[in-house]
Order: sequence, then structure tokens, then C-alpha cells
Amino acid sequence: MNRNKSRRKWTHWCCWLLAASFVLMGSAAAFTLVVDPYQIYHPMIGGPPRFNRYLQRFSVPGLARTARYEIALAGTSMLQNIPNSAVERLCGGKAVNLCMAGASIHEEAATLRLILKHPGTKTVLLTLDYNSFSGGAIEPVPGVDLVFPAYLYDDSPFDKFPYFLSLDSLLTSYRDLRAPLREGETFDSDWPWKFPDTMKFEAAHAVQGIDPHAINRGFGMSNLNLEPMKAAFAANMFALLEGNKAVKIHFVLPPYSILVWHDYAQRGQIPVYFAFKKWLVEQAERTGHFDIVDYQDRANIITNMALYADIYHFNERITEQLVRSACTGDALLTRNNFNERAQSLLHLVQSTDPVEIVREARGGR
Amino acid sequence: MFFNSYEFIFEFLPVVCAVYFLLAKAPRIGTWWLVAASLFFYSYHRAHSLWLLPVSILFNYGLSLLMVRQKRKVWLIAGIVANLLVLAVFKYQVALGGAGGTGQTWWSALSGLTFPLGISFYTFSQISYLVDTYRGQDRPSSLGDYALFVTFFPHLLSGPILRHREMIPQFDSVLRRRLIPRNLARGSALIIIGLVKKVLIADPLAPLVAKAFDSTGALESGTAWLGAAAYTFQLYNDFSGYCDIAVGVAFLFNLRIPENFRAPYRSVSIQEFWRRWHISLSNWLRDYVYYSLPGMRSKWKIFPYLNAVVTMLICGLWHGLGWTFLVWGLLHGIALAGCAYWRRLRLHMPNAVGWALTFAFVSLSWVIFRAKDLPASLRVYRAMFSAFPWSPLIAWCKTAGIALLRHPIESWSPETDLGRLVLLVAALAVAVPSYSYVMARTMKPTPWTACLGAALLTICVLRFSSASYFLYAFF
Repeated sequence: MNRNKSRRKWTHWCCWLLAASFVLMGSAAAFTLVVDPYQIYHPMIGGPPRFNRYLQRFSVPGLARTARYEIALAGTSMLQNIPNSAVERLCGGKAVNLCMAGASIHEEAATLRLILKHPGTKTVLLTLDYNSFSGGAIEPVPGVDLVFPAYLYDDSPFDKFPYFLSLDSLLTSYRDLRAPLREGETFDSDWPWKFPDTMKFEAAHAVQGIDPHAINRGFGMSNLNLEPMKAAFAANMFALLEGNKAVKIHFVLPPYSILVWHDYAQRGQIPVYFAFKKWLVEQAERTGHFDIVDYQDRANIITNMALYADIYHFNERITEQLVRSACTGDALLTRNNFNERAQSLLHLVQSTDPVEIVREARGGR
Repeated sequence: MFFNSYEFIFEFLPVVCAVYFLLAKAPRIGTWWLVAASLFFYSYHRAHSLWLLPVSILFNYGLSLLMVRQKRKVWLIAGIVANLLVLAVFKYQVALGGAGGTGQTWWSALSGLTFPLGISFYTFSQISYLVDTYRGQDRPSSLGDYALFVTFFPHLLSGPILRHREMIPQFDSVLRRRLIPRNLARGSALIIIGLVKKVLIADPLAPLVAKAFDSTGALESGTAWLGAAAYTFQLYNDFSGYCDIAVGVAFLFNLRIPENFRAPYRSVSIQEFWRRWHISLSNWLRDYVYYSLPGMRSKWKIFPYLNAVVTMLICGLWHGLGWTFLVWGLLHGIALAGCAYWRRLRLHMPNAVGWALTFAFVSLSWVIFRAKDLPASLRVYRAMFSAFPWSPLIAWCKTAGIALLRHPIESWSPETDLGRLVLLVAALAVAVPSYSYVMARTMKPTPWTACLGAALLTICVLRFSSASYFLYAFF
């Protein structure tokens, strides 16, 4: 009798524990699900969504899933500094910006997968940065310590616990409803990833801290090899590209300033980069699944340091030109023009002196 | 897979438990189900080192069968040497060749090998099995039971180090296959206590520890003291939290895993500390190293003291191949020998003084244990004692407690101030009269305790997204 009573007591205790845990965790999950601060399942409820540039990797999958768009800009920060309305004006169609600073090729592919699954997608502009390959096929770009929440990018319902059952999500939901904007946040859904005001597009600012004799010293970028780059691209992109028939995909090779090319020259990376570009062109023509928009040999842009905030990032007018070119189909890199354009860029590098460029950008100092 | 993860709490554990009890009428299949689940658990993050575990199990099991047929010492020696060799190759190659990357030693040829989690624990468990089988204190079980004894997932990554003869009778018990609500409740309570220790105490202390031990700039006295104190409580709560969860999970399956901690920071001597800290390792070292060393029955009275030092040196080496672990082991060995000599002289020490000395010694020795090398530990010690002529005790109180109270609220920094608060709570928790096993054993089955457990579990689960690895998983 006593044994049965004791057994019943402990059974009740277990039931109480289960029920109370279910209520408490269920409430936390329900609150996050209803507010959905990263808009993974629906547009945010209870207020306008806010965009935090430090949490791009959390916002991107939600936008890719639940925003209404036909044109998606994705990839690294090279294409993030443009209002959606400008893209709509240039390309004709509702646009969304899904870029993320320092994206690796793996992170880009995860975003592209979501974009291609979105029913309204017609066009994708995806930046293809050299540094995106420095983490190999899976790892993030070295030096980029932003968390990539892979569970928000896949379709499994079983790995979403870190979203529903997390103090961070709970606090983010609460803050999104109640708290004022913080540094790095905006409500501007038209231009969510606008560069901060601290990024000044001035020649002197662009070359700040640059040692023209060892340009990479301040950046610490890794040297790359051709075969791992090809393997990383193939592992991440081929299946997505080959499975896609309806969506136009433009890979955009951004116009880095001439100092980046001098950096590559100093590190012996130009042949690697050129060989990779050539291989990419061959893949584009072989498969016919994508094309390549290349602004990297535009002398009027890349030698004008006044257009840059640093040696990589150019102003929004250049971004607009790039987007227009992608949508109209000009500036394509093809097998026919590859050698000529490569020679032109190489000539630019050989005919300029980084010391002189930096001195000039600093106003002759 | 780690205990403090969503997939463990919400997917792995409920599924494994449910299937296990559904298989109650097919005990053999139930055993192999647990083995398969344990191997899945083990390989979840590092599948490439999975092969070593079955190979090690088959080798040791085969050797034990051989020893039963032919009781020859050569088999035992071969088994011990092979196990230690595997341990050396996989555990120490990183320290000797792999990490250094010099490419000069033969070890560097092995640098492609990666450290298999839990190797120290399952190797020691199997060595004790071989020794006990040779001594006739144990006999081989079925392969399934043996495989479960080695792989049983609660203890696989960070112990406790199990004894074959303690576990096998439990595997055979028919009671084990029934769902027993009291065990379910106590197991759940221990799991929650363990998670609280890990997620709510140990993890928030990590930034304070990192600030003292991993920073490169100048180190202030207060930061060093705070870091040393924080590590003292981080390590304890991290490791004992793991063991509480391991014991709790085993309870769910109606299995008893020996307790590994009994409030060690309340010890009044270093001997008592080692009877309360990492008990399964202490017992293992006592039974298989200390008593096996020569000279224990010699007329020379120095041998027991010398053997204590040697045993603790081995204990240091078990944690890793490095001067820091070696010196840490040496210090503890000397302290143990000194303590034994003190007792032999029948000298008395008031408990309060004994506690203070023991706690101070243990805390200070953790500095050398945590530092990445000897110069780094000296840097922390130098910073700690640079505050003289203040006494360290005043510095400790100032940094750990009073500084927190005086801290202006507007300059609250969630990272380090949360750590200070937790440190204060952790320090006060030493004075709690009970410890986790007793708490789970004496718990009353009231709705309030269940609701409190649910609330704590929810808070822990909500912190899982920023939880870290268990520290002892890499030893």
C-alpha cells in the first residue's frame, strides 16, 4: 500500500515537472514565435522589424523566406550599401538586400539556397569575393567572428531550438517590441544595411593606416590556392546552380580599388585570382546556369580612391552602376573578352605605384 | 554530443529512454540499443575518432578472455602497455609533435590524428578491468555488457571512471528494465542540478577566468585574484555539474554510477580534499598506482610519502603532458605527503585553520593547472601577490565581494559583473550544508519542488544557445 502511494507521489512529481517545464518553455517559445524578431516564419508582429548590422546573419534567412521580392542582392558587404528602391528603379521588380559582411562561400550558398526556394525570385545578384574563399568550403572567413546560425538557414524543424528556446531570442523579441534603437540598428527596411556614417568615401580615409609596401599588414588576409577555391565553389554552388532553371543568377565581381590588386601582386595572388576567374567563366559557359558581371578592370573607378571608404568598399553610386549592368546584361565577363580584360587590369597594376597612390590620396603627404 | 545541448535534452535522451524501456522484454537488444545510442552520442561531434573505441573494447575484452584461460602476467603487462601506448599516441602527440608543428620528431607523423574525446576515462576504466580480471577479483561478462560498461554514454566523455565489477551486476538486474518513478524523479533532479552548476554558474565565470589567464596586456592584482577565484569555482561547477548529470542520466535507466564529488571545497585537509574531489580518479590512482608502487611494505618509512608524490605526478600527467600539470601534480603530491606526515606526528589543527589552508592551497594550485604554460602561471601569481603589503585575504574579499557591492550600477557590464555576482553566489554555495547527491536523495516529491525544478530547467535551456563545452571533456 505504502509502496503504491510512494510510487504515485513520485509519478505525480514527474508529471508536475514535465507539465511545468512544458508551460514555461512553451511560453518562451510561443512569445518568440509570435513576435518572430528575425521574421523566420512571418513578418514581425507588434512593431516594425529592426535591422541590426551586427546581426545580419540572423536577419538574412528570415528576409529571404518571408519578404516579398523578385530581385535579391546577396553575398558580401560589397552590394549591401544600396536602397532596395534604387534596385527596383534600376531593374524593375521588388528587391531585397540579403548581403552579409565578411560572408564565406558557404554562407553565400546557404543564402542562395533560400533565395532559390522563394517562389517569387526572378533575379539574383551575388557578389563573389576573393576573401570569401579563405575559409575553404565550410569554415567562416578567418577573422570574421560573427556567429552564423546555420539552423536558421536549413529546413529541419528539429534544430530550431536555439531560436525558440533561447534567452537571446527572448530578449531580442522583447527589445524589438519595447526598446529604442541601439547603435547599429535601423527601422529602414528600404536601406537596412546602409554603411555607417563613420565610413567616409574620401581618398584620405580610404588609405588610412595603409602601408603601401605591405598592404596586407593591416588586413591579415590569407593567401589562397586555385584548387581549394575551385573545390569550395563546386562543393557549395554546383548543386544549387544546376538545380536551378528559372532564376537568373549574376555573380558580381566587385571593383576593388587598385590598392587591392597591388596587395595581391605583393603576395603573388594575381595569377591565382585570374586562373580562378577564367575557370569560373568556363563553368558559366559550360553550364549556362549563371553569368559573371565584372567591373574589376574599370580604370576610372578602381584608380579613383575618392570613391572608396577603404581599399575594398566603394560608394553607392558604383553599386548602382554594378546593379544596372547586372540587370541589363552589360559588363559580362566571357571567354571572348577574358584575356583582353585581364591584360588591361594587369597593365593598370603594372603602370601604377602603390606608394604614389597612397601619397596622392593623403594629399601629397 | 554534450549534456548542455538542445539535441541531448529534447531529442537524444527522451528517444533513448523510451526505446530502452519499450525493449524491456528483450534485455539483450536493450543492451545493444544502449551501446548503439552511446556510440552515436560519442560520434555526434567527432565521428572520425569513433573507430578507436570499438577497437579498444574488442582488444581489452579479448585479452580478458585470454587471461581467464591462461593466467599469465605477460598478458596483463601487454594490455596495460597497449592501453597506455594508445593513450600516449592519441592524447600526447598533440603536445609533443602535432601542435608544435616542427615536423622534426617522429610524433609529427601522427599529427593528423585528432584527440578522441574521453580517451583518458575509457582507457583507465579498461585498465582497471584488466587488472581486476588478472587478480581474480573480476570475471568477463558478455561482450554486450562489457561494451555497455565502457561506452555507456553518461560517463563516456568525462567520467566518472567506472569499475566493471560495480556495473555488471546492475546490468543483469531485472529491476533495471522497469520504469521506476522515484529514480526518474531523482535522476531528473540531478540533471537539473548539474545543468544549473554548468550553465548558470560555471559558464558565466568563464569571462573572468579568460580575463586573468588569456589576456596579453598588463594584469592587475584584482583581476588576477578574481580570475583565480573564478577558476576555482568554474572548474568545480563545470566538472561536478557534468558528473551530476551523468549520475542523473544513469538513474533514469535505474543504474547507479558512483558519485564523483562530495563538496570538496569544504575539506579540512588535502587528504580529505582528494577523498571528495574526482573520487573515481582518486580511488583508481590509490588502488592501481599507489598500492602497486614498490616499497609500501618496506621498513623505510619514506616510501609511502614518496609514492604519494609519484602518484600525484601521474595524476598530473593524466590531465595532460605539460609542465603545468606536472608541477601541479608535484605540489599536490608534496602537500599530501606533508599532510600524512603531520598526522603521523599526531599534531592537531583546528578545522577552521585546516579548511582555510586547504582551500587556499587548492585555489592557488589551480592557477598553475589552468595556465597555458609555466611563465603564464608565474605572470598570474606575480600579479596576485603584487598587491602586497595587502594581505591576499583582504584582496580576495575586496575583489570577490566588496567590490561588487560598491560597483556603481550604471557601469554594470553584463560580461564581467554577472561573473562577479555568480562568483559570490558560488562562494556562498560552498557553505550549503548539503551537496547534489544528498539533495536529490532527500528531495520531497511536492509540486513546489517540481515547479522549482521546471523553472531552473527552463532557465538553463534558455541559456543553451551560449553554453560552452565541459572542461573535462578534453582531458
